[in-house]
Amino acid sequence: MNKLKNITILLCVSIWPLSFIVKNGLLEFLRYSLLPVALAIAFVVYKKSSPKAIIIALAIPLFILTSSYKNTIFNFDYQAQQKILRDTKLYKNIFLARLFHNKARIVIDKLNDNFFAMTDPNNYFFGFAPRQLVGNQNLVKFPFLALPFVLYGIWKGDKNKKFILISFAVSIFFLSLFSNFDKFDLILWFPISLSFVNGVKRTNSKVLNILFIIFSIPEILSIFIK
Amino acid sequence: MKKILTFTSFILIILVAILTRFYKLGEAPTGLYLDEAAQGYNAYSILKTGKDEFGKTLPIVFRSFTDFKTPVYIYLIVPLIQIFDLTKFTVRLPSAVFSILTFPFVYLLLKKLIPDKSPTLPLLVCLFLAISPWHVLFGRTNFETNVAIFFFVAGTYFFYKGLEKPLFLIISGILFAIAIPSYHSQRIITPLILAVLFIKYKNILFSKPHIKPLITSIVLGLLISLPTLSVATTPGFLMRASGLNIFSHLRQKPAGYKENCKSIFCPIINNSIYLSTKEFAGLYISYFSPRSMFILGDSGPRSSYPSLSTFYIWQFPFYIYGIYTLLKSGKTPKDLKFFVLSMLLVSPVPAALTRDPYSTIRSEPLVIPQIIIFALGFYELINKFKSKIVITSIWATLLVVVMYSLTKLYSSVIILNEHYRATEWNYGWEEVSKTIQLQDRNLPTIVDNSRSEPYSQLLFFLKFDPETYQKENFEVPIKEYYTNMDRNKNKKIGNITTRPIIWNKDIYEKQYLIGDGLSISQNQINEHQLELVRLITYPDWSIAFKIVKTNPEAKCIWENYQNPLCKPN
Repeated sequence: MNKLKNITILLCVSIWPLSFIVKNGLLEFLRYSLLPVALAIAFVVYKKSSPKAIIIALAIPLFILTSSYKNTIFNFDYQAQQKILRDTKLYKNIFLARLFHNKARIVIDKLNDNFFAMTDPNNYFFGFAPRQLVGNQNLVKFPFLALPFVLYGIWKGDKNKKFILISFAVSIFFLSLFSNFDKFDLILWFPISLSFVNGVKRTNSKVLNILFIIFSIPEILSIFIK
Repeated sequence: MKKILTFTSFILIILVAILTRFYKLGEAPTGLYLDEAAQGYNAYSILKTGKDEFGKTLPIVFRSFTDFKTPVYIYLIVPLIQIFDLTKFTVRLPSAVFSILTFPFVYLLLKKLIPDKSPTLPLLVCLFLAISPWHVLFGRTNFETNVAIFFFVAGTYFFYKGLEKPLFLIISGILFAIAIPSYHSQRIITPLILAVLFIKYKNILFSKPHIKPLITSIVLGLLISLPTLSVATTPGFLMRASGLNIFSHLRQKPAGYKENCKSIFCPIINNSIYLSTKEFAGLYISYFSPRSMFILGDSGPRSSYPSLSTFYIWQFPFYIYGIYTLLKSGKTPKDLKFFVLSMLLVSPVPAALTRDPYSTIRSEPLVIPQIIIFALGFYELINKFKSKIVITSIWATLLVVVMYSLTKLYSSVIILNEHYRATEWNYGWEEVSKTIQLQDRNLPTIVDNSRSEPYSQLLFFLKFDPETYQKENFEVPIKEYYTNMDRNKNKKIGNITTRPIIWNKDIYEKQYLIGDGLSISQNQINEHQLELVRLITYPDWSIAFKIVKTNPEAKCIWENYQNPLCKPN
């Protein structure tokens, strides 16, 4: 049973890195994998030191994230501005027009778009299908049958629950500030994989594990075959 | 005192619901989509002749564009035409009315499911439903789904009432039986929910006081369903299911299929069981995805409003907390939890079987459990506080937020939708029809149908005599109404014919030509000596339709009568 679980875990956690490498090359992967690696180091620090060290531990990936800022949602967007001008002309009441169409809305809408894209389960388990994201690689990150394991892992929780939730929430917050979070979101591989591992460990069904393995094989093969 | 407050609150909520559904009903959207016009005209035809547009007497499903529309909504319009005439308001009225009628049953159902009978949660649910963009959209337009939800919710309420007073099971059975033919997705949702309810409450249902009413309700339900069952295996009845479902690989390959795959592993990665399962799972999960619910909404331009998703973004935290409350906290009453979870899990199934991502029309029953979850989240949150000042502040904040949401609804529904979605709502055919009526009736008119099927809108706005239309148009023999899928897209409406314009022939006949900007370009008007009778534009000033009059004499003179179709003076 343990061997089966290990295969399940290996198959699941390897898909995102593999699809990233195939799509972007090894060098790009090594560059962006600093983020989840830093988070993993933070996790080790968290486990070994006092749990309060989580705050210091999270500083590493956050530092890497903030220093990767090149484009943010605060950058000037000409097209969005023009749309606001067009929409405000449709209203007879200028107050109403300004209430819903203003410059602040441009930033808020982008923040919302990013945040909800990263909290979308279809992002991680179906490559954003059926509603792929424009300007994103829409990589398949985890096999779709990993979803019940991840949900079960979150539901049951374990001693790492605090780290998983905080690292996930903080990462998503900062990623939402990017104009394009694609590739940087590789940092989320770590907390989601932890949840998956927790879910698998708490599941003692041979059938589920075998089913998972069977359905994961085509997913892995699809990464390599054009 | 409490009862008065509850009643007053409920009435206020109903007034809000009436406002959001009835304000400019029939005027926003201004256009009338072809399905809406087809339903309206078929109802008109039934009223005048007892037959649909094809001459079929009281059809069980309406052939229309061989999409075989469900019958309940169309038959509901019939008596209304007698009162209000055939107008956009009339055909959208049943949606609005049944949308409002759903509220008391939602309220009463929730009161039944909550042991302490507190009215707060049911009132919250009704309030959120009153301002729900999802429920409002389908309550303002001629879509059958809101009517189906009414019968479904009412049937569920009487089911629960029947568990206490068995005779109400009969009413429940009748309402469920009407729900099934009301909309396509109810053919799956209602039987599944009935099965779930039956399994859950079988001990009560099979008890002595309940057995006779149960049998009576089943018999009555089957009797009402007999007409539907009589055509259930025909290609017509199954048309929607076979055409749209993701397992229909004859029409298109499953999502993720790799074309021209040359590897030895292709049979594995292109395996249809794997791909179809994955596709269904992806589509199904998207109905619970916060991105779909609070940001993207429905991708269909007629199933969504600009700048507005299916739910308001401020409801997201209550969605998360509501799910937590429902599943983990143990505070949710058992019956309520069972009902919400059942509806939550079953409602997206028919929609997820079709390829359209996040189809709100097919999954509309999902609005009920999801709104209950929001309300539950808010209700549990407010219960955490003891201070009256804090509680009052929270309620006051909710009121402000609701007012903001109503304003946003107005902005999207009345202002933005008219500007951005006019094309999708087939704006312009009413103006075309009015113009036709002012022109020389002796001259024929050709209406181009290369990119659309305008005949239903022309019939609707011209209120063309159904008997004449039935005689002049043939599609399939009546005995093949449900089985023959052939279509005749070219229609004759008196002097008007809908067909593609044949440029090398039509310009040599004195007649009117009507088409969109692509069908009739300015170059063609100049080249063929056409006279522009009227230019109809969309609200954004882009060209909708051109109505031109041919001038064969001028054309022939210009061509020196070289064309054999030219008739010399």
